[in-house]
Amino acid sequence: MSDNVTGPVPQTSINPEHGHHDALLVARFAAGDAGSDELSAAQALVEHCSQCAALADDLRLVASSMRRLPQVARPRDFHLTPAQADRLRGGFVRRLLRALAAPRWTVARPLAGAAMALGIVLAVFGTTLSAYAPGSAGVPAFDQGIPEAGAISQEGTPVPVAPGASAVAAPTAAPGGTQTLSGATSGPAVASSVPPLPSPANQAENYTDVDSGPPSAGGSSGGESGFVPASQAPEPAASAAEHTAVGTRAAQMNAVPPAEVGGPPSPSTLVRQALIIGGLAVAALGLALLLLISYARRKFRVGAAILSSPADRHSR
Amino acid sequence: MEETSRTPPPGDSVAHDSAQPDARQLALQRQRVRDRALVEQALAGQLEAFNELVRLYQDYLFALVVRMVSDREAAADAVQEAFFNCYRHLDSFHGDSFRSWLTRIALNTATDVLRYRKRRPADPFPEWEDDSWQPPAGEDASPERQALRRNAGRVLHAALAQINSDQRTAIVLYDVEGFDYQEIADMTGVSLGTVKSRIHRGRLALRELLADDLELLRE
Repeated sequence: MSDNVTGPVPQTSINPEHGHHDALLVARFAAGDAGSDELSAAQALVEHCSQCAALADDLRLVASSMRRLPQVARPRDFHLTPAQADRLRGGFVRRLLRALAAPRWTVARPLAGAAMALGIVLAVFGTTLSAYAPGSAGVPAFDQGIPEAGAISQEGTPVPVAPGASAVAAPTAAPGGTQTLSGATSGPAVASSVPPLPSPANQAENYTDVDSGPPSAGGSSGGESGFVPASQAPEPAASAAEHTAVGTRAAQMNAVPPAEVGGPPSPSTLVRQALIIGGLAVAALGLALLLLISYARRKFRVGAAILSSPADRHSR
Repeated sequence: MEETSRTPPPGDSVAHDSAQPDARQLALQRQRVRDRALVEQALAGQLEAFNELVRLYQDYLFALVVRMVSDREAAADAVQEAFFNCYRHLDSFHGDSFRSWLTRIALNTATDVLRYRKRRPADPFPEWEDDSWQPPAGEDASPERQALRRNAGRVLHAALAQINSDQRTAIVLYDVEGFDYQEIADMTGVSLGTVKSRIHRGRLALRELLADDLELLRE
């Protein structure tokens, strides 16, 4: 059964030093795998130690015997039937999940997480932009390029009205011959207490349009236009300082963004909306992909592991 | 012991034969081209193409797995499962050698079987006592020779089953199936040096286990 094996090596003498010899070196030598640096040492062992020579011979015999092991007949045929093939192939969803669980899609999981994070960041950024956009409640009036409001009041000229601002308030008849903006029935006087973050709605509630109504008795500056707080509208003796504040507040109210009052949306508004909606969409997509991959990996982990190397499986 | 009926795996009939390396390389190349064509047809939905691959490799795969698990029925189940997994993940095959890819799947399946057997120990290797599972010998073999061959195969199987499973895998792949060191390293996911070390240590362990039966192998 053996080839390249000369038969049992007669062990004429027992070498007491054999226990200290490197058996693995002899095994490498017998297999022809000994390196050039260890070849001489291995040859010396085999030539001078009969037991090492016998060991090398036995190892060659074992290897050659393994090569001649009889083939074992298989007990059955392993062909796949069409029914088995259909079952194994699965539907579209199953194939998709299996593909997501495959090792080559490992990168998809961190990508999905990154997409989700990016989407959230975009949405938050878009929201923040909205809060600090020109005309929004988060920006002080003097940042909005309307310092002329005070001067308007001093000159007694009408306050310039931003496009669409007139649509905010529907003039209604108010006691005292003035027209108040819709909902302006009560509210704090602007001159006495200025709200920190006035919203357009609040502004609309707090001011009256004195320009459109008949001049009140002893009216301030006679026929000046602008907005005054509703609580102050009937009072005849309004000071110039009060009018200055009124003008400023009016300008703030007039600076309502067109998009919020039904006018055509500005490009910046579109960008903000796109950021928010797009960010939310990307985040939702990332989350969905993340959940899908997690589910697929849990469900098809065994199948994916089958394709990995045994060493990888051991390390898991 | 005379030459037995070991059927070399398809395309690997000259394993470890350095006399005709070009012929071996050529045969391997042809085998890979053929396998890739069959895989592409199978991916296109032709079950017959996949079953052709099964026909080509089922003997080889069963012979490999049965030496790993030493139980015919368990080995048959493992091979069937390996072909199922192969069919399921056929689109994952992008490698050069389908045979190596399939062998890796089969090794993993055999490892699972071995783990299962470890958890539920039963009669360890009942097949050794069953003469019927050996293939019929050639007509020229005398009854004595047949008996000797069966004995040699039995002691080899017994010794193989007792060594470390990593060493057994390496020895079976190298000595029995004819893969080279690099192929085994790729399949098992360890370094070349580790493969060599496992083979040499495994042979040393086998030599220890076969100390009393070495004469039987020299017949």
